[in-house]
Amino acid sequence: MTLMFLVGTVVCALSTLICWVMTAVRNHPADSSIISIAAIELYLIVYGVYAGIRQGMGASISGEAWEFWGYILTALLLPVGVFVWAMVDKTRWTNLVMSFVGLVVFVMVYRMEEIWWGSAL
Amino acid sequence: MGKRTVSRAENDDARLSRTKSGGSLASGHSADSEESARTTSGTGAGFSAAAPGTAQTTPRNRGLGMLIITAYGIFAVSAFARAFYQIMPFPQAEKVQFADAPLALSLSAFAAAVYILATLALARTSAAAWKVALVAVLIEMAGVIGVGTWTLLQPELFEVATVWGFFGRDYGYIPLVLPFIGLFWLFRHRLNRS
Repeated sequence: MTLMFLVGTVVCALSTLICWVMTAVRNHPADSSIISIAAIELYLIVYGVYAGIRQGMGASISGEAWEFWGYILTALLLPVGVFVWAMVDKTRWTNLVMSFVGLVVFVMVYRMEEIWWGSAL
Repeated sequence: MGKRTVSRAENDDARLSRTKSGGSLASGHSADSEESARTTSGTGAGFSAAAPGTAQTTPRNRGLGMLIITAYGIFAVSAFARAFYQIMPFPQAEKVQFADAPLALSLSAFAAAVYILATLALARTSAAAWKVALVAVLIEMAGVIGVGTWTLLQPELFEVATVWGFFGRDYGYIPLVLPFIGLFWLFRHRLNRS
């Protein structure tokens, strides 16, 4: 397991947890929910830059490079897309909709780690 | 704290029902909402009188419906991405090309199309969209059960994984649960009630 994967797991888990708690205690989109999915976006940017520098310097990955980058691009769009959709109706459920970002991005980072190193764990 | 949470929940229901009668709410909750939630919590009991009608007046694509549409949207994107990856003839040694496994790859593409259709139909409120959503969700249900059973009976035909293979095992069996949730949601928001 890499440090990047560990950080990603923590960021995604915290975000999902915050969004769930905020679903229970706020009847509007909570600032903390929004900040938590922004943190996921930031993590993905750092992950992408790290991967870009490493691969740009000639390091190879175990799977297909274009599949890896397909995952990163999709993952980068996800928090933005979910945020825009969640803000269509600003209720309690906005927080629950945003909690999906952490769950899905965790699975995607897991797959990216598999493509990158051959195994995520 | 506990009391405040309860009255907020009531307030939430009231706010929902008010939102529905006024059409979609474009803005107004974000900046001042933390403050207003606190100040209006005292009047929550007054609003809760309006709450019983909420289930009928909440549009199909709002409230919890937002969540179901999000789940469908995520599956639409991931099934499309998977089908795209599987079907595009990218040159690589280990990738199974379409000609080698036309059945599994066609079923992936079909699943992606059904998810996209279901997402769009669920997100719209017209009578036609309700019917399209019903058909899409029923096809999805038949598809995931049918393809899931097929992969169990003839696994040799499915050496390449397909989206609905083994009842959506690769996706945590969520594809098996999703059509039932979608169907439940559609029947809770029947055409003649709206």
